[in-house]
This record gives sequence, structure tokens and C-alpha cells, in this order.
Amino acid sequence: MTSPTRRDFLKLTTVGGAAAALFGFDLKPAYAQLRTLKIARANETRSTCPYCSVSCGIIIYTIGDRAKNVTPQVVHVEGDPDHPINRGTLCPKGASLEQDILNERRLLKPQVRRPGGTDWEDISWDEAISEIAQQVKKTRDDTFIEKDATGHTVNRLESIAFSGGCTDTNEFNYLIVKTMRALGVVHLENQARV
Amino acid sequence: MPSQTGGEEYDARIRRAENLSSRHPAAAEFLKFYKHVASFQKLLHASLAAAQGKENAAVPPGKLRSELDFTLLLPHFRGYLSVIEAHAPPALAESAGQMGGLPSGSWIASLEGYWQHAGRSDQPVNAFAQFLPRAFLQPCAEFRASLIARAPQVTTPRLCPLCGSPPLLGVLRPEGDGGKRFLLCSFCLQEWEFRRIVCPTCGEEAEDKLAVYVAEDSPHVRVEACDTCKFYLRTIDLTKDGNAVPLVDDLAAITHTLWTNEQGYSRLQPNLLGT
Repeated sequence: MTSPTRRDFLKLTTVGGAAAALFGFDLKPAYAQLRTLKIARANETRSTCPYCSVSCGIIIYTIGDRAKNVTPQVVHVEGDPDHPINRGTLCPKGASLEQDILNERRLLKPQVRRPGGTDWEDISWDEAISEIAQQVKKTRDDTFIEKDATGHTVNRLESIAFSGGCTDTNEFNYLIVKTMRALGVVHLENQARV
Repeated sequence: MPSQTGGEEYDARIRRAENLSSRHPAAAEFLKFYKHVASFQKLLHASLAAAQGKENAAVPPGKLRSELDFTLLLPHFRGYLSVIEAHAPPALAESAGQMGGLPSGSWIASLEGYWQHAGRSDQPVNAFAQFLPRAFLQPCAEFRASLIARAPQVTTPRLCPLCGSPPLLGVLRPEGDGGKRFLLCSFCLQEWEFRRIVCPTCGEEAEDKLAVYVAEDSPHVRVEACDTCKFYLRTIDLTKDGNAVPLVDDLAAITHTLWTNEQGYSRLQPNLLGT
């Protein structure tokens, strides 16, 4: 008695079109259920949590059937279990990242609160940019320090400070530092560390 | 890493099959039959464990497919064929009846052929042709694998590090606030770690080519499809349903199989019942 060879065995390894039907199972109930099956396509994307300089790995789930007129929708964010820094864990702030992307309280236009005012009012982007430019120029012209008390040239501006948000991109932070340094601003912080 | 080799594992599979067959009418016939198969596998596993207790020998790495002890296995084979004949659907029952009429040399040839070659070809197995040796030898492969001391894993191989077979399933187990992916071997049913967001068939890593399909009524069953090679891996997400038993929940997902076939995706390896 000889054992079957690999060639003999491979003769048995082609896949049947409907293997379950070959077994003799009744597939009618499964086909009936198939008609009511609601199935959604998601894509998983690796990214990095923007909040602090630990740089935890995250996986973002986006649903959408990739049709041209459909905007993919973020549905879930979770820790990346393969990431060597956090191995799937997230702090409470990182765990709420989905709300950073989808949030009905997100501001969609600029607002201003006037000196002495108690309410925020909507203004247009043009008005906001023009007003900020005027205020920055006036403040800089009034308070720019060209030389210190000992006569050394310092060219600094201590009356304006800039603080960047944690979700600002690296490119945005680069431009901010260039702009602020050009103005002489020394009180400057952003999060270009991640 | 979870062990899947104790007798209690078979009890868990049987309980889960009972539980799912009442909730998934479309898969009830599959699960009822599987319950009988798993009950037999539990008995065979217990005899293997009892015989091993006398020898007390660990299996060296790379020796999972070393010679089978037919003096121990063959006495169980006729009983096994009777179980299949009594509970399987007609085509399979007939096949078991025919096998029962063959001499024991043919049984040995069939079992030996499966044991040496299954999972080592590039082609997916034909579940029907291989059912009889596959279901019978599954407890042997599982038991042998449990006796191998495993070295810490430093890579993410696409084939089982113990026996070289392709994966049957993916399993997501809780890790931190996410799910760590393991692949479940189609031959020895052991799990090994595998990175997320990479196709286990062709190695594709482009995120827009790797779709995850999830049905509303069973969020823990994921179809992880690759648009590059058109193969898919079914993954059971234990972070969504901690009571799931991957091997059994896979059998219950028969509608997912029909749906993926319609979408033009192929499964890397079919499960025991060919779905």
C-alpha cells in the first residue's frame, strides 16, 4: 500500500463553485436572507493622534461606497494595536478623536467679541483678516522694542503672543513660525513636535 | 496568545453552535451538523490526550506533520464515518458510506495524503473532497500543535509558523482600545499575530484597496477584502462580540459567503463545510 503523492492530492484541491451545495446543504434560506442583508463598505486608515508629542498610532474607519458623489464619512477612531508606542491604547482625549472630526458644535465661520462685549458676533473672513492685520500693525508700531535698556539691538515684540492648536498641520506651523519671527514675536508656541 | 486545544474548547464550540443555530435559521442546518462533528472531535481529542499522557513527549518545532499513529486513530475511524453517515446531508453521507466500505489501507492513504499535503499547495482546498480526512484529523493537528513550544514571534508570516498552511480566518482580540489581528490556521487551528491593514494573500498595503465589509445584523463578522488580488479574509471581531467562537461564527456566516461570491471575491481557504 503506497501513500498518495502530492500530485494525487492536488487533483482534489480545485475549488468547487458552490462547495456547500456539493455537501447537500439546503442553501435556499441563506439566499433568502441574502436579499435582506445590509452591508456597508469601510476603509481603515492609519494615522497619528495630533494631540500631544507622544504620537500614538490610530486607525480611522471611513464608510462610503467610493461613488464619486459621496463624501466618505468617518465613523470610528481606535488605537492602532500594531503601533510600537501605544499598542492600541489611547488616552481619554485621543479616544474622543472622532468628535474632533465630527462635531455639531464646531465653528464654521469667524466670530469676534468686542472689547467690553459679552456676546460673540459673526463676521466675514475678509473683515476678520483685515481687522486682525490692522490690530497687529497698530500694536507692533506702538510697542516694538528695537533696543534694550543697555543699547543692544533686539528687535522684539513682547506685546503679541501666539499659541497654535494641537491639530494644526506641520506646514501651517512652519508658516506661523516664519510669520511671527518676522514680526519679532518671542512669545510663540505651537505643536510642530508630533 | 489564546490556546484552542483543551476539551473545554470543544464544549465552547458546541455551545456556540447551539446558540447560533437558533439565531441564524439560514445556517441552522450547517451548525446542527457541525455540533455532531465537534462532539466526535472532542472524544478523539480526549483519547489523544490520554495516550499522550502515557508518553509525555513534547513535539519538536517543525515536526507537526510527523508520522500519524494509526494504531491509535484507526479504531475511531469507523465510528467517525457512522456519525457522518447518520447526520450529514445526503451527498456527504453517501461519501462517508462509500469510504466505510473500503479497506483500511484506503483509509490510511486518504488520511496520510491529507496529513502530508493539506495546506501546502497554492490552491484552496476543495472542502467536499477533503471533508472526511480534514474533520477527522483536525483534533490531531490541533493537539500536536499544542505540544510544540513556540518561539516569540518577530515577523508577521502569511503562513502558519507551525505547519506552513494558509489562514482560515482572522480574529480580532482586544488590545488597548483597539483590536489586535491574529490569523487562525486552516490546518492546525493555532493563531499567530498578523498586522492590521495588510492583505494576508498578496501583501497589499494601500489602504484604499483594502475594504472591510460589515453587515448591520452581525457587526462582529468582517469581510476583509483586497481589491488587488480579489481574495478576502473573514475576520471575527471579538471586540464587538466577546462571546463569539471564531471557528463556529465563521460557519454561521453563510450569507456573507454568498454575498462575497456575488461581489467577485474568493476566499483564501474555505472552512470545514465549504463556505
